Amino acid sequence: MKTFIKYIIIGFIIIFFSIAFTSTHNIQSIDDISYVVALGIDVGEQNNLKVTFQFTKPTSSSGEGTSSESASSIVDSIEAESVDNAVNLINTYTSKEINLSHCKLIVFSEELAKKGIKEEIYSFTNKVQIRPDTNIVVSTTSAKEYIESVKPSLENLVAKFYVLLPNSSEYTGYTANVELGQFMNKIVSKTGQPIAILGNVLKEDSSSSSSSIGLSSNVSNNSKEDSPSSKNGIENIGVAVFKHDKFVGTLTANETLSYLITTGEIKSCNISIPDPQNENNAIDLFFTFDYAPNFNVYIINGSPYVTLKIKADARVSSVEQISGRTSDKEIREIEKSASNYLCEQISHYLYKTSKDLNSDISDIGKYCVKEFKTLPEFEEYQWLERYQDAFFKVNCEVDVESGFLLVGS
Amino acid sequence: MSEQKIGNWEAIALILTIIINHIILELPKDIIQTTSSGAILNVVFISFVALGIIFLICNLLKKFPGLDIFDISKFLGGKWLKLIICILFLLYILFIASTLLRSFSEILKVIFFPRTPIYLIMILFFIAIFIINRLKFKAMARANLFFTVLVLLTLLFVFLGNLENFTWQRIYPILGNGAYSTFFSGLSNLYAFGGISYLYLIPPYLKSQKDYSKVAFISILSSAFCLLISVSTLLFMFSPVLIKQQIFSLYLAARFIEFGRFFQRVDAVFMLIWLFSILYYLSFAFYFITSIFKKIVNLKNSKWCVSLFILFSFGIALIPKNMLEVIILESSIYKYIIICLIFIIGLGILVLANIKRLCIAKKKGVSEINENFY
Repeated sequence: MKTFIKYIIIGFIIIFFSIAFTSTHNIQSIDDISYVVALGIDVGEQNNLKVTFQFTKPTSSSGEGTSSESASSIVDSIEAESVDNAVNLINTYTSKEINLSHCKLIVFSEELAKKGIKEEIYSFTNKVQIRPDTNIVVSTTSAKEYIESVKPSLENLVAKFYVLLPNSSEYTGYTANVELGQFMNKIVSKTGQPIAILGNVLKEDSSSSSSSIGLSSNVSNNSKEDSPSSKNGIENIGVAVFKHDKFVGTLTANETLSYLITTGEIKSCNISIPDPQNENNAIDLFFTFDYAPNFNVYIINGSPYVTLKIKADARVSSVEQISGRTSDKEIREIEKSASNYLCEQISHYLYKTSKDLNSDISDIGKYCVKEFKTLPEFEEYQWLERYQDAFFKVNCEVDVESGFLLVGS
Repeated sequence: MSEQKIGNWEAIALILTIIINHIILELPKDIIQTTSSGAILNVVFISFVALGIIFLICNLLKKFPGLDIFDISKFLGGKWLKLIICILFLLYILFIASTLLRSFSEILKVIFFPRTPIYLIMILFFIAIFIINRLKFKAMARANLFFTVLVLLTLLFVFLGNLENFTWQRIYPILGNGAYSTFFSGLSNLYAFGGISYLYLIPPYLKSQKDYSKVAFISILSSAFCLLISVSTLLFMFSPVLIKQQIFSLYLAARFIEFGRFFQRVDAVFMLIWLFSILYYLSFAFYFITSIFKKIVNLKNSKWCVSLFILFSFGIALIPKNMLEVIILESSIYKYIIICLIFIIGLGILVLANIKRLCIAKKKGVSEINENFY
């Protein structure tokens, strides 16, 4: 009898919890959810915000589609007072529940970014579904247009395209991999300021904006018809600079490279430096930055004096330049030219962030903190405001080795 | 009782699990909140102080082998003092266990079960605690040893997996908000070693009384290590301003872990391990609550006693209206209860009991009192 009662109790408990949790399972079943891969946020016309959602079509996510062009996706926009409100509203229109756990990209329009995006960033950070590795993009056009223009040519899945897109920052240095977690950290930081990836839509009647943002002509000279970038419909070159949560300016591709060098985020890339023997020529060097940038900050008469030492190794990429340039003297000349070029570029970048943008995006403030005994003393100094008074001394040391497979003759 | 005796490693894991579970929840965040960038220095400082206190406790308990704080208080002040200490410890463990359960259930609700009522999540825990408490103490201790090792590995993993996200310069200024806040007001962070309270309770459960000091020192050293790596993880990853706004900071840090593109979103595994660890923590808490209650009322058959306290704890856990109230309870009241009970009352009883023992020995004209005297 005792055992019988025991089984009755156990049975009752199982039934009770099965019923209690059934509703949860029902709602979170994978078939009943539609996954958002990208979110775009613009300034609304009637409401505060215009939020654009990009979903993948269930058939395209399998990766077995026969389309050789690109994976299809659905883009839908809605105006609302807040992001949460927009999610609620879109949920009423779609048959499936919206889930943001696979959202890889959040795009803000430049117009909205100028007004400040703190509220939206806090809202995203507060969501369990949104991962901290979601990339943040500021689009020079509207966010909706940016998302609609995404047509991956070398990738079947839009979601995978978004995952791979910022990876080029590791080997080109023309863009940065900016994630939500990092952005949120910088917004509240007292030592540095946030940045975002700068996105641009490639229009049919215009060439790539790479030339206009500081890239030399060899990048923009590609045949627009055949280049994967033009087929993708968008390009991410340069970064958007923020002061607290407000967009204050942009960095060109070369300035972005300087940013990545000063933050130690780049490991290797190709840089064209002026040929010391012929001013009209350029030498392509493959740089490897194995050493962390060495910052020192001193407070002189209340103003920050920043010294920076960069050490890099380089190999000559172009065969033409290697041939007949193996003497020690010539190598030293290339080293000197490379060092001067790097110093010039980085100094220009640092002064631009300090004097023009007044935004310490390289997080130099973290090197300044040790000059103070306590945190309240540092806070009283107001580093972020004093950054515009900073002056810099950059010292670059480049070791040029030979070529890769050819050493010249 | 011999069936309930546990080995040294099980005892170390028991003490460790008490501290580790508070580390998983809010402890490192609270320490950073009070000391900012001086948190690491503060943890090192309070760890040394805790080791000093352990040294003191071990020496004071040396003359009372196999006795817990209740037996010693009975020797010091008779039945009434024993009763008061029993009630104080019972309420302390009950309060801490209830708030910790509520806190973790709220987190589970936020992350995994947003539409499930909080009481339903807590009931699941209580069923598991009830079942675990039907097992022998030794079985509980062994299972706990397994999960404690896993939790230790997760803490280490969160630290190592996030190395690339660290900003090492966040250690500066090393004194944080100043020397006073790091060393004097920061001394209140000693509550992080609340697991010491269980060191007062475990002597009767130890197989070898000689190893008590070893157990105490190893468990506190390991706890200090866990606390140090957890505080370091948070401090180097997030701005102190952001840490203040977070709930369950260590989980948020775990969300950043990535090894290439094939090893991502490991936080779900961590949550599962932490869930088991919390379960064993609570099971131990209820085991000790029951055994203290048995001591108070001289009860022999305590088979259903645990269910009584489970219901009681369920009621306490439902008192806070929201997560904010739980956090306030944990960061303010919890802190002072531990400092008063463990570092003032507990130590005071041991010191006074030793003085009394010396007086009795002097009166009797012997150098030591026989163990059977207690």
